[in-house]
Amino acid sequence: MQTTSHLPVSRWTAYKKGWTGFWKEYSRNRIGVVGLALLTFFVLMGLLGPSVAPYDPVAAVGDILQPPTALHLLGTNEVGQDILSQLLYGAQPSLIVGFAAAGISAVVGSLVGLMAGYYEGYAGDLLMRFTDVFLVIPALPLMVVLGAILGPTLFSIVIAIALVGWTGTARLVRSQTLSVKQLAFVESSKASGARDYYVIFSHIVPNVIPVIFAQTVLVIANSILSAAVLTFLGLGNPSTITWGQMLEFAFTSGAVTTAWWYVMSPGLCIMFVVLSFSLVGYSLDAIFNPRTKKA
Amino acid sequence: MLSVEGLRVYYQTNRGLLKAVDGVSFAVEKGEIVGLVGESACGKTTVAMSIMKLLPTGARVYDGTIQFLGKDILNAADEHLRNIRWKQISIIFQGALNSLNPVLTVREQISEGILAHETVDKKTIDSRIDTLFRYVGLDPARKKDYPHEFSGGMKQRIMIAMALACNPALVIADEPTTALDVVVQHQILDLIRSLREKLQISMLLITHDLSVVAELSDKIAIMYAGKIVEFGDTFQIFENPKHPYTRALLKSIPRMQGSKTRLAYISGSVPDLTRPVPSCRFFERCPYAQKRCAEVEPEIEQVGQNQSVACHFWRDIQSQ
Amino acid sequence: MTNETLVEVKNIKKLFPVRRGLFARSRGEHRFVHAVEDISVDIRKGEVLSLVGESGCGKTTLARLILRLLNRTDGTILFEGQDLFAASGGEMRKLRLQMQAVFQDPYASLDPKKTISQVVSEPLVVNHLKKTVNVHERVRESLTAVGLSPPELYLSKFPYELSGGQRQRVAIARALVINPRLIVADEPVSMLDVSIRAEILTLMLDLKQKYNLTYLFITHDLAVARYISDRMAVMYLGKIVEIGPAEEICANPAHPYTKALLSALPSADPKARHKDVQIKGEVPNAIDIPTGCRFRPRCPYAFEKCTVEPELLQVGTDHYAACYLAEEMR
Repeated sequence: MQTTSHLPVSRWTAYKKGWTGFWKEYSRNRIGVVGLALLTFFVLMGLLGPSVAPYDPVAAVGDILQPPTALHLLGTNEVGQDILSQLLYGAQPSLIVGFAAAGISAVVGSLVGLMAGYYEGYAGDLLMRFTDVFLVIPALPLMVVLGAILGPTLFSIVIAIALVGWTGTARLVRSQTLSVKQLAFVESSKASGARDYYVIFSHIVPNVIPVIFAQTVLVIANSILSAAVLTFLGLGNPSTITWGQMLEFAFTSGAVTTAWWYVMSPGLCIMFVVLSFSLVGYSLDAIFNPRTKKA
Repeated sequence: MLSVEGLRVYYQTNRGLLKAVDGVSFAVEKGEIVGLVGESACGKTTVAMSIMKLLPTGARVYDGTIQFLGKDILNAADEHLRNIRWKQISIIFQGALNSLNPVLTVREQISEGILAHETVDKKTIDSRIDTLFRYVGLDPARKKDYPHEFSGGMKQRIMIAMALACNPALVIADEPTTALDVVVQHQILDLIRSLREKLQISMLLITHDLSVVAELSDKIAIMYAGKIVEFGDTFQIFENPKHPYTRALLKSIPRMQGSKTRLAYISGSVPDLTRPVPSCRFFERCPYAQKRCAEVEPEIEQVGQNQSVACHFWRDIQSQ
Repeated sequence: MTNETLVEVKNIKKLFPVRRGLFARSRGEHRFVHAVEDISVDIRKGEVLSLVGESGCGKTTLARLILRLLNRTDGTILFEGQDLFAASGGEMRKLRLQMQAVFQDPYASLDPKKTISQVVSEPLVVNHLKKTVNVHERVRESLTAVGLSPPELYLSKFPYELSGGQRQRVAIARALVINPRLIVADEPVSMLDVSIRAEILTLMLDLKQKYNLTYLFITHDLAVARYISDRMAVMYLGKIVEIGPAEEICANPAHPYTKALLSALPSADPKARHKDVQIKGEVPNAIDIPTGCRFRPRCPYAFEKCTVEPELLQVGTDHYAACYLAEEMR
């Protein structure tokens, strides 16, 4: 005997079909797959880094500024710490800051965009002008100022980046909301008696999420980069190892000219992480963005 | 003038090879308007694009010949094609209303078109544009206006003017009246008719609307699932349709005159063109289908002067 | 209003402001699109009334006003005596259960991210009917009624897996699932292939019989309107210019615009070519409406009296036209 609600069955089917179809299309783009592989590598590094690091990152375990050897695969820094271990320990905070900041950006930006797009008129205009203000202020100086004000913690870096990065998502979500709003199924829903919150969360959001998703991946890339920059500039918690911080020490200790391994290790990591997110983000964008998609 | 023989155009899709056009043959004589009629996805636009070699990536001509004025154009060199495009054969695309560049004046756009194919001085271009505008019923003084200042019907006239800019011998019109209101549609059809008389142009008219071909064309080719199922003189086709699809199509059009009979319809849908079967493509939806139809694909056979049908049993159906 | 009237439209008017930028408004320049201008019409129980006209004539706006998807500028609409625009939120929700819509674009009228069963059950879910009604049962019934049988085949499919005709059936099933009295269909077949149109139209007629429905059918295709409707209302620039039995209007049009429309229709008959259409120019924009009779600038029969806008005058049994020469026209 059937229950009165059939929804669970359909949602699972929707899920399954959605994912298999999505993966099929995604895997067709070789660049995207490469990006995803790289991404997985770094995520694993973040998760497992500390457990596989050969040494304690803060312990002076070798001679100073030693080039890569069998003992220290990426050499040592000016204090004698193993760079590989630092890199592995530093993956977590570097990635987490990026994810957290991007996450907050995405949520704030999406909410603003959804509201501005759905409720046009004065409220919508006001929200967009507010967004414009944030867009106009130069990002880096603002982040530095916020970071300095909020104090020397990683959390303040997250907030600083998030407060600057939500605007792009807001604009994108607003424009998507505006175009989805006009489609007949939204009208139909309203004609059936649906209230605003239902229309927004049941119809508009699912159709806007793919675009948010693609955009957010790129925002993560940007956030990780910004986090590296901010920690390089000396903000954030000085006792936590991050890649940006490693770069800062590399520069201040004058190792740039002498110890290439010191500079390149964190530098390349940052570069490749950002690259992997970008590749994935662009592939997703190609799939989800209705404008770049061919009809 | 234009002769298409055995044209096969297939698309590479992620589900396999889509046989969009599978063995299409027809001809357009000088001064004739031939209508290529079919519903969505029957391949008619693909045929048009093949003639102009404007196929999208993923589509390839696998077989067949297209001859224009006796010369092969499918395998012609780019040089030769450039000579032909627009100067001999021009095309009015589907949804042409939106093909006008909003930041250029109409005069600039038409000049661009002319200059791409001929070297003439500005004065000649201007006077030609004036003539063209008069042909299509527009005020020549408006040629310096921007597209958004014209209505839908006027924009379509501009597109027709552009297509005639280099005095082509053949014009391919893909759904020229689809997005237009009834009255404007009538005006455009009238215009096409008068242009044909005045300029002796031949035309390949592609549409899904049987009433449009009834108004304009001399001959009609009915396409279904990538093949021509019936070809003939317009009057013959309307009065004496031979192929079951043509008959069903005619019966499904609501009429303004006559008693209100129950409209016939064709249930089911077009077969999957990525999975060809040896049967007649209309087999599953045909009310007269027999065993033979499931096994052998009917060839198109000549059944009268300028008349051909692709059906095993058209004679029996006729006598019913 | 008689017992036979389901919807009564009373002098409804809808203007859309033309957005001219920030400063135009302060300079007192108000320009409006006169989408619907003082229309009064009844929709009778059990009939198919079609609204016919070219683009921009206001038929879509009128339909949306009846569904209360738009706010009115003036006038009102009564549904079985209840004023739609004076109804409270709760009353309106109850009223919405009585009228549903089917839209034109089969590719846009279904949420691409929802399964068919989610789509069809939405009106029930949204009105919190899950507890009082067996949703699953109703959805299956509805799908079967529109010919998508067995329904189980379609429940977990997504719109992209269905053809245009099938999608329209789903849209109709969704409209039916809450047992409405009125279905407003806005060009439901114009984006479908010709051979499928007849199928959907026939389906709609069958459903009307079976479920005692009333249709407001909007179309620009006069032939389709003639086929499916009992009564036809011809609209031009926001007003109804002729209304009456569909057959009657097609056979004996009384308004010059109707006559022009009918003569402009390409007939699917190669022998009937070269018709002369008695109409000049193109449809003007709905912002600067001509004074007097709206059709005057394009009408070949215009004379002095036409500087005063005509009301709908009776020209036959249940047949009205807004033209001083209507009698002679027939």
